Amino acid sequence: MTNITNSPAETQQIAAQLAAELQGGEVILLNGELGAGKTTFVQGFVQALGSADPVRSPTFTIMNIYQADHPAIKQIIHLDFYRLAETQLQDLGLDEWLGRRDTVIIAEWPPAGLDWAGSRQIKIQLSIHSEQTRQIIVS
Amino acid sequence: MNILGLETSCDETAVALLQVQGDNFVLPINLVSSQINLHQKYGGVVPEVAARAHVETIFPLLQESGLAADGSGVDVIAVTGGPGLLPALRIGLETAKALAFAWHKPLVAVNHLEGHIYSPWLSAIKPSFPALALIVSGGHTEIVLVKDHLNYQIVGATRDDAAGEAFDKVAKLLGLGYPGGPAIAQQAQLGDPASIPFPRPMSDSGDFDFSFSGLKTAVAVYLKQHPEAPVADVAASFQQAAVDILVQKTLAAVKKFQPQALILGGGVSANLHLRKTLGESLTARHPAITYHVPNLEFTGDNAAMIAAAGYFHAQAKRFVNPVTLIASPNLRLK
Ligand SMILES: Nc1ncnc2c1ncn2[C@@H]1O[C@H](COP(=O)(O)OP(=O)(O)OP(=O)(O)O)[C@@H](O)[C@H]1O
Ligand SMILES: [Mg+2]
Repeated sequence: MTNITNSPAETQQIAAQLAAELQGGEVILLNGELGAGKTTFVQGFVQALGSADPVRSPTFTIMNIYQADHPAIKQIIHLDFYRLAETQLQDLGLDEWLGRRDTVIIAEWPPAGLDWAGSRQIKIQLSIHSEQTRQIIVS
Repeated sequence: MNILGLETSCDETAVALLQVQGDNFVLPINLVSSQINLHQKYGGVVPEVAARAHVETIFPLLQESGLAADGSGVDVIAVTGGPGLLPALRIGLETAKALAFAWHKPLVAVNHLEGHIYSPWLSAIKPSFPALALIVSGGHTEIVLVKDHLNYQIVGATRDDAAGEAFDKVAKLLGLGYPGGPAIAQQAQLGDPASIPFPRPMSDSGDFDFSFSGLKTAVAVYLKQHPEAPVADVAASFQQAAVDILVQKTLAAVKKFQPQALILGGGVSANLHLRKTLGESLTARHPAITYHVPNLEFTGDNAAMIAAAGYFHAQAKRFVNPVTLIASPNLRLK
């Protein structure tokens, strides 16, 4: 599915629509160049899952955890692989969260070939068309 | 009082011994070992490798420091408890816990941000309270009201990217090296800061919050549209926009909270343009408020600042139990 958005708010709406379809246990992989709107997308996503936690870029923290208010999903794990190289998920302490039905993982800059332990993966590709316009492909 | 400080929350392994006598803060030991070269070798941070590097470095640093093996000469141990990368934090924390346990010394856990706030205490002239602190680094952009020792209120913060993160990402867009801060500052000296009108996001938001993702993205979009743009002009214009936002919001907070002192700290406080512009703007508008920037060696992560903050924890008898203390990667300042 391909969407064009013309503002950060529209991108966050797409994220909210995706959030509404989740059952828990999914892994969402956000690809796209610098400034494409990955973190902006996560802000809409986290808010739609009932969290009031501030969503900041995890580029330096690598992993942020937000508490959700949702029938099935209790927490959202926000990852950012931008600064990482040759990473294995175990090194990030993700064992605790992988494969849990009460958790969704949403990752910026995910390297190819990570082992998500059989979780359902949803791939999002964001790209910059112009200053305010983004293309978002969900697959 | 002699405070042993340990810091391993991110890329630096650091050990310091701070001697405090009255207002006199002296550092017989101050060692920092950085992993930047390691990250360059691997093309990024490898958490497992980073944690191992802390393990392999911390005891050699302690040995090199000349500290007595039985802990004599140490009154208190101060360690960074968070925030930071869990595998990295753990190394400093477990080392400090083991030393406190074996030496029977009291232990204090310091918030990394608190360390940056206390970095000016390592200089001769100490801030008075209430103080306002702008802490800017790769992972942080916060304005903190410090009403008294160990009494903090965050009055503004970034809503997306930290200022230092924007410097690093723009440096990457411009093909400059990592870390991006010094590379941008160097290029900026050669360019015209008024050549490109990058936005000053959230300057009218009426609060003390920041947004640096819009500025980062404005640079990314500009470079797509102007691939031939001179690197120095882009760097200078970006740096000017970032400094303008930081100075404007900080001075608005100064106006509202009327502190006795303004503190600038964190890795980005090494940026000379920021140090100078913030100081000049403060003096022009609020000449009675004192301005405190750490010496350049204390802008990045170090253990001396952890020991300085730890001294005030010890004065307040805020000791922690070495048996139960755990790392807090998302520790908040309170
Ligand atoms: N239609 C849009 N959708 C999303 N963001 C937009 C849109 N138009 C403008 N923007 C702006 O683009 C920027 C996107 O930045 P953001 O930090 O979210 O990107 P990112 O992909 O996470 O970048 P990074 O690779 O640095 O992590 C924000 O400042 C946002 O306001
Ligand atoms: Mg991002």
